[in-house]
Amino acid sequence: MTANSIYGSYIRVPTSAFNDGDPVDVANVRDGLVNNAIHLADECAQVRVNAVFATGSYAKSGDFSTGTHIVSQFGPFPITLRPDGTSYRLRTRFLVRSANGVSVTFHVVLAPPSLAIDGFAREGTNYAKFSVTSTTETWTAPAALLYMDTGVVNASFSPPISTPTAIGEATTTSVVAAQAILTVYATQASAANARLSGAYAAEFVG
Amino acid sequence: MTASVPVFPQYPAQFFVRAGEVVKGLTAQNVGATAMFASSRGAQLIPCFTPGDLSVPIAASATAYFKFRTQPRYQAFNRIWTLLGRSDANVVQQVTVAAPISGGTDRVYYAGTTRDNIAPFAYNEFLAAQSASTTTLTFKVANASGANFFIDSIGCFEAPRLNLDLSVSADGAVDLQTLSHRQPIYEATAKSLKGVSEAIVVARDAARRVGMFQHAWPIITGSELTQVFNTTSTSPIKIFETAAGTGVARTPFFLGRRMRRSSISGADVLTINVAVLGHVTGGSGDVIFTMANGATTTLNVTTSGATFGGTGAGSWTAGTIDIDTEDLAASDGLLGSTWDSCTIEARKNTSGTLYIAAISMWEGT
Repeated sequence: MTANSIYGSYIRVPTSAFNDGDPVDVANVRDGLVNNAIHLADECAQVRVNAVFATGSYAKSGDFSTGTHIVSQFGPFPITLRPDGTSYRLRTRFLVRSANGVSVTFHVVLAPPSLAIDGFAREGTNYAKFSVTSTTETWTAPAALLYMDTGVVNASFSPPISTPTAIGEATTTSVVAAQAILTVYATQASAANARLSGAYAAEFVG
Repeated sequence: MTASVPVFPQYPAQFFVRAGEVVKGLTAQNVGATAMFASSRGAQLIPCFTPGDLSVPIAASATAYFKFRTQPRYQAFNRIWTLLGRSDANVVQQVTVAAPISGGTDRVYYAGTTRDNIAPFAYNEFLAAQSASTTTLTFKVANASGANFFIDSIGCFEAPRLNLDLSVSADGAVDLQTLSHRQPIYEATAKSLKGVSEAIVVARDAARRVGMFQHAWPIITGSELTQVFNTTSTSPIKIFETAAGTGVARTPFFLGRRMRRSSISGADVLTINVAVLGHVTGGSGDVIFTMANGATTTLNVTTSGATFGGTGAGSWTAGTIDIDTEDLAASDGLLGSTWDSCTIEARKNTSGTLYIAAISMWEGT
């Protein structure tokens, strides 16, 4: 069970249940306040990437013949955080193939832009890899859900986001948000054969 | 007076709320803070996507418009547009970005050359007024340099709110001090337990998974129809296909919020909005959405505006479709271990051409 709330759903309790003069019913508080607040937080997860490329179109690491290079990047975007300081999990899928049937290893990193390479090197919870040899493009999901641990989250608050002090105001203040970018690398032994035609990354409270 | 929006949710302790126990002030404070977290940390309005055909650039000196239909959260003061692009020449490329197209302040993005050395760009769009009305978002990319410009990713999200206004009921704020130990329970806007219950109702609508799928093709100023999707086929063809003529669809994925208990009929389904920005030459055209769960809807495009509204919103054709909801009993949230996907097709009903500049799918209220 991944739901943190009691029922794993929203329970309708009228706001009039908390009017003046009414006794505070413990069931109303449990269902209508405690359960609902936690459930809404669980389900405020957002879809961060949902890309299918136009017909026949694909991204490739074609600038170099062999080695490991970036195939595509998506973002940056904010990441929702859990009470334990880690990020919501990311359910990911990638539409990939090999152009010539020679094995390609794709590496996926969820990290602040400045730490994409670092995330690749650490191979932590925000990193996944999978290999493809088929020339038929197929949606492929990494074995595990990706997420940023507290160390990566801590590094992801900078820079803060500038925001108006009030609606319509020109004066600004700043608000912190964990931000990340999803980077897809490919390691290829053959000349530029990695192909990416779609990507999906949606938050899940996990 | 304002109430702070927490960066992390503050889950109330459920075991404190049971028969024979008093409801503690701390529990109520945590409920209020968690409701404000859910409603006010900002929505992803446009999930990141790759526009149009990656092999077709925004040419030198060309200006591209992108349009999206959605329903933002009322809480937002500003939204952040993100752009990742690159040049095909061995130079740092200068492009001008603005949102909205009309009235947005131009800012310059210096793009790199290969994907290994490009940096993301963030454009901060300040809003004139708070609104949760369905609207069209617009984004401009003007290629000011002499080389081609390729776009790898566009996205847009709302900036989180730092504080909510206790005097604006639609903000969904709660004065947490009124929930402290030994405070009286009373009825007033944004205060005490009634205020908490009202904040939860606000959060129910606001904490939507707003952007489900957005895809926009570049609308090139002066030659608007050249880079958008088009078909003359009178039988449905896949809009996103592995290769032209194969009939093998590329399908985006969907999982919505679960808002009903599993025992209630309809708990596995969420209705979301769909809209297309289209244009036809003569008669009408259809855009057909078919979910893997069996739901389907057809949008009939009759608009004849060949510029898709120019710098304005454009004329959209809209409907709704049912998607799967998340299964919170599953380790990955998938309902029945399946990925609910959408096949999107188009056809022209008579002779002529159907053009599509944008497809938008979002959760509304």
